[in-house]
Amino acid sequence: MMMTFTELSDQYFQWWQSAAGRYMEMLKREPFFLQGMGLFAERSLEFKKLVNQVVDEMWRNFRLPSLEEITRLHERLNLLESHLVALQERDWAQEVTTVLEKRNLAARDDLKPLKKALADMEKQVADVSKEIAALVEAKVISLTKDLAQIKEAVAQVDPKLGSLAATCERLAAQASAKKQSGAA
Amino acid sequence: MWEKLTRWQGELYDETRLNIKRAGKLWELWLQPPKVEVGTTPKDAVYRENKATLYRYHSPVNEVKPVPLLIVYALINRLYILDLYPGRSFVQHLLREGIDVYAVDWGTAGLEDREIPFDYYIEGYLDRMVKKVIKLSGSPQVSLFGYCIGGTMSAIYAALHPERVKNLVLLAPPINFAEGGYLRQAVDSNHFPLDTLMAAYGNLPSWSMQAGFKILNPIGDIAKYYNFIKHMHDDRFLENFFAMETWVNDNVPFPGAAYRTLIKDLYQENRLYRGLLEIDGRRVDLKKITANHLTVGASEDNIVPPHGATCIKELISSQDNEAIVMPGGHIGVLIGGRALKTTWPRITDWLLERSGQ
Repeated sequence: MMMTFTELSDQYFQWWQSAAGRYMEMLKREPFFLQGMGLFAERSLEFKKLVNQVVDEMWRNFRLPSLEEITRLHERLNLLESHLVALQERDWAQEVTTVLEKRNLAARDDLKPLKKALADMEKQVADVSKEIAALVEAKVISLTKDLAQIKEAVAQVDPKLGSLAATCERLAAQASAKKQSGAA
Repeated sequence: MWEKLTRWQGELYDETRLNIKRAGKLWELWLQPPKVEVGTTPKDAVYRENKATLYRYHSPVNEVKPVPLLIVYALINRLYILDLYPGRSFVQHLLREGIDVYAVDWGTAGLEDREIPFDYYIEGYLDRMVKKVIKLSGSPQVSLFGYCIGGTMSAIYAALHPERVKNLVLLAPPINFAEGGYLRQAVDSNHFPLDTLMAAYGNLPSWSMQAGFKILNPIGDIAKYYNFIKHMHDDRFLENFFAMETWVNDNVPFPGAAYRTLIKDLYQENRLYRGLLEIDGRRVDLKKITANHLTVGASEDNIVPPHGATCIKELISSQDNEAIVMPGGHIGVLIGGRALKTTWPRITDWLLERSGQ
């Protein structure tokens, strides 16, 4: 069976791709390769740092700001923008409501002991007034009883006092008659 | 024999014609390189901070689902891979299905962004963007769709703010970095000069990022151009090829401080998986994720091997919890030819079921 050029090239390419892929896969995972790449990158980056320093020094000698200084300025501008955006995006109405609600709750919490004391006092006052009323009522009842007894006693004493009063009046009249005769 | 020879002659003739056509096309492409238009779906920038932009895509349908979708793309490469060109746009697919789509574009980090910590990308930019989406859509919760590192960021956000995330869809997100394939081996602290790299460049340069991806598949470029020569007479192939090439070569620098967290805390120390990662002073506990969850791993992914992504299923508390593996590589799972018939409908159907109020 004959193959077309495309089929043939496809077949060879696939064979090469699979072989080279396997080899590269093995190589790139080799610790030696990874260490070597790391070391190479480290050295190149150290060199880049050195170049950065030289370029910065050159700008400084020209009395021009270095890249680092310009970047710092940009960073501050970004920071400022972030702060402004944060302020702009804040939902002030919601925040104020939340704060007020929190304060309201806190005030309610603060008033709680006061309210409890007041309720206790009211309860105590109610209890005390009930006791006093009962005492007064008992006192009034006993006084009423006493008064009735006194009235009865007075009623019994009254006729005896009537005869005593007549004797007293008579003696008084005798005494005044004696006084008058003596004077004459 | 004679018959075979005649057939071979015919095939040779056809191939010669094809090769002439290929040569003509190559000449044409050389004289007039094609204009590649990517990310063409109309969108509005609804929020900006520094380089980061939040976009809202124009919906072609009258009624959209109440829960909006926020796409969180990685800090590597560009967002438009999700909106490559008409016919190969995941964003357009979502929009057509009636999903209200927002997307985070991190922009191109400059040297002045080298000290923006990874924490700020989540608790600063992303948090504000989620709040913005909530405000604009009127829905109290959003769906998050995170791709690659964007998936890791979305998972972290969902763990820190479970009350704001209704649905969490992660596509090839690195979660268990110990299963990070060759990348984990390549950035091992024994040989990877992280501190020197950051001191020399501030950010991770885009070319360095590209070199890192090339080493994952060293002969990939040769295979790619071989394939290109083979199919260059096909206009549809060329459209896809040039769009992909534009994206692949459109790397962006990775912000320095965030890169340090990615390499040291995530790749080298695997802190997220071990529950030791701290963002803005708060420990990230993936167990706190309660959103409906779907993770899609890619079967041929050599950047985030499938189990390094799907293992999140075991770490979260969601009742509605699913992790699947779809065919394709790290990019192919989303934008490959098969993805249009496999990954796209799978994700969209899952989202549509859960995007009601």
